[in-house]
Amino acid sequence: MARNSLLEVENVSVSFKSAQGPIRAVRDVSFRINPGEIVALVGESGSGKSTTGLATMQLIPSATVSGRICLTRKDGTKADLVSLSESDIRRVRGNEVAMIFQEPMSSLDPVFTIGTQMCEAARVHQRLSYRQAYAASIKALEAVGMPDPEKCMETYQHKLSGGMRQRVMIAMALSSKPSLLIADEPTTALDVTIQAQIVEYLKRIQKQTGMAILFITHNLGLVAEIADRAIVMYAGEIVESGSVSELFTRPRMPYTSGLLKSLPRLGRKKTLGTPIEPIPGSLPSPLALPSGCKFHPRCGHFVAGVCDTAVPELESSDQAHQVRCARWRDIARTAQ
Amino acid sequence: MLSLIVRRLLLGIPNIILISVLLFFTILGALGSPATLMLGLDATPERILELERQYGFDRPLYVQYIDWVWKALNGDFGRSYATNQRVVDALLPRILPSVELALLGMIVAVTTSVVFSSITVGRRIVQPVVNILSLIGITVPNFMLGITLTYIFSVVLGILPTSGWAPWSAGIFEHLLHLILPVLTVAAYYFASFGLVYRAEYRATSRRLYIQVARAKGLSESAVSFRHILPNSILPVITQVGSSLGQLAAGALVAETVFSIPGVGTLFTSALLSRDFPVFLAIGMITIVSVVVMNLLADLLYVAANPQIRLD
Ligand SMILES: Nc1ncnc2c1ncn2[C@@H]1O[C@H](COP(=O)(O)OP(=O)(O)OP(=O)(O)O)[C@@H](O)[C@H]1O
Ligand code: SF4
Ligand SMILES: [Mg+2]
Repeated sequence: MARNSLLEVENVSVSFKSAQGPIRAVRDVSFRINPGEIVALVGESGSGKSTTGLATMQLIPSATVSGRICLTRKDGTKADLVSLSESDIRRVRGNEVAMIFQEPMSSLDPVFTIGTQMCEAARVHQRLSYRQAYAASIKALEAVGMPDPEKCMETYQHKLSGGMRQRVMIAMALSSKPSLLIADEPTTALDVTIQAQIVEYLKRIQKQTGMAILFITHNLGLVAEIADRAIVMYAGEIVESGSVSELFTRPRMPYTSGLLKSLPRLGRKKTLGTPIEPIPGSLPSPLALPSGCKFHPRCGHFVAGVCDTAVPELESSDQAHQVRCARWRDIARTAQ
Repeated sequence: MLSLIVRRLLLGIPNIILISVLLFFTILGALGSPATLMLGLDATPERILELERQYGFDRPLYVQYIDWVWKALNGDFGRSYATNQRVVDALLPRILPSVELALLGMIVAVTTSVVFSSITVGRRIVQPVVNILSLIGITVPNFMLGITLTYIFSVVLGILPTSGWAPWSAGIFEHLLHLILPVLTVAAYYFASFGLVYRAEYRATSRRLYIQVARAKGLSESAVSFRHILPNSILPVITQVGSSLGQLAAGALVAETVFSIPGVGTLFTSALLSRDFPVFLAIGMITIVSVVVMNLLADLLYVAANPQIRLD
């Protein structure tokens, strides 16, 4: 299994410089994505999800990235994206790993038509004539359910709704048939019905193309809908990971349980009137992280001397289920 | 788009009228009778009266204004007091050199400021050079710059002519050779001021998500810069070009004088010195009209460059 994984992220840390000292936004993160797998990266705002995604694309020039991000390329060779030169990483961006972002409203260049931008994307990595690029773009727009692709090619972004713009972004991201799509909260800015459509299209396209998706979200409801596996991040660290069914039925880390409880009635359409329990408190500032378990100031299972001394290791609680909590065994026992 | 042009034009006309009235009345009202100006302070009252009657300065100002505008609209700007030449004849041949100098200056300023501020290859070397040149452009007065450039390139290096004007008939090479230093002198200040505006906008645009998206496509830094950041940052520069061309409409006074170019600017200076009222009034009015027209053009260019406005 290890041999054929598509992306291996090993001990990746990302830190930003700031006047108050380095901001270690992502710390010692390791995970892998297999070909064709949909993996969700979950966590509250500020937990380091986008930073992890951007680091994979090497798109944060202001940050220092350490560790290894090993990609199996289309030709079968492996490359460490962290140490790749600028011109080599450009051949990965958009070509092998594509990314779509949280705000479709500002993802498209306002001075060019959709067509110009789509053809540009299609021609960066492939030797295509403008004609061929145009035809390919029309096809890609059809694949994401764009009603009138020819007309869409001629329009400017401000004429399109948020949902339509995100479709364009997806179509554009797919133009070079990447083996991995990093989707950074692609539906957060959209309203609920549009969200569902976009997720549907992403799933459908994933099936057709067999690409892998790293789906970044803070919405556990979406995780259940789209992902095979989920990685939960808290304050820059992975705190739990496992298959989605495992995480939803047997969450081991109190933070994951908290997230699940704060979810408005999972799987049911009517959410009105259901009691939700938000996790008390808020994410610590990356400049003043608590000692020991980073979640301890907010945790209902906190025990002084156990949780606030050493940082708990990420350990396997089960096959392919990992948890970072000093007390997960005790908690699991009492829950039974 | 068409209605926009019409609207801007209609707004421009009252503008022109208002400013021209202001100009006419301040020159005539504040400076007093042109006859006194022409004859000097020790002229006899009888001589002044006679001259006023001869030129019609004894009529009420508004009558003179309407009379002037009416004749001007028919292409008659009167005769120069100094040379008795028709103002039109004195003015017309001087327009081309001034326009050429202004346009070339603008083109050089816009392209150099935008291109040098957008270059990503070797930015660490290019940027400080651009900053120093900008500082020179903004702080060094035009006449000093002109003289210094002449000293370096003509006197010391001897590769460029010191001054003067070669008409097109002298050959395009000769013509352009004489234009190099004047154009650089005109462009220097605008290079700096456009660069400031452009770089501020460039920095703001760089932070936009669609620039991140362009990078995520796999474009090179310089493709990102020239294809995406540049077109999205150029609008404020276009606006500035409009008002700067307006400023230059009277001729790049200093550059024309330093390099003795037979343009509108030098004519204006000599008209002022010789109190040649019809000449500088004509130049003033033409300047006003071209300022308004240039701003209108800049507006239209701005609209054409911005699809969001163009299509709505
Ligand atoms: N350019 C930057 N400079 C300094 N700090 C940054 C920068 N980008 C992110 N950070 C910090 O890194 C941490 C993680 O941010 P990140 O954007 O990765 O979170 P996120 O999980 O994607 O949250 P969200 O749901 O809000 O998108 C935050 O504390 C943030 O302040
Ligand atoms: S280590 Fe302690 S504080 Fe942290 S999640 Fe586990 S029980 Fe809570
Ligand atoms: Mg984010």
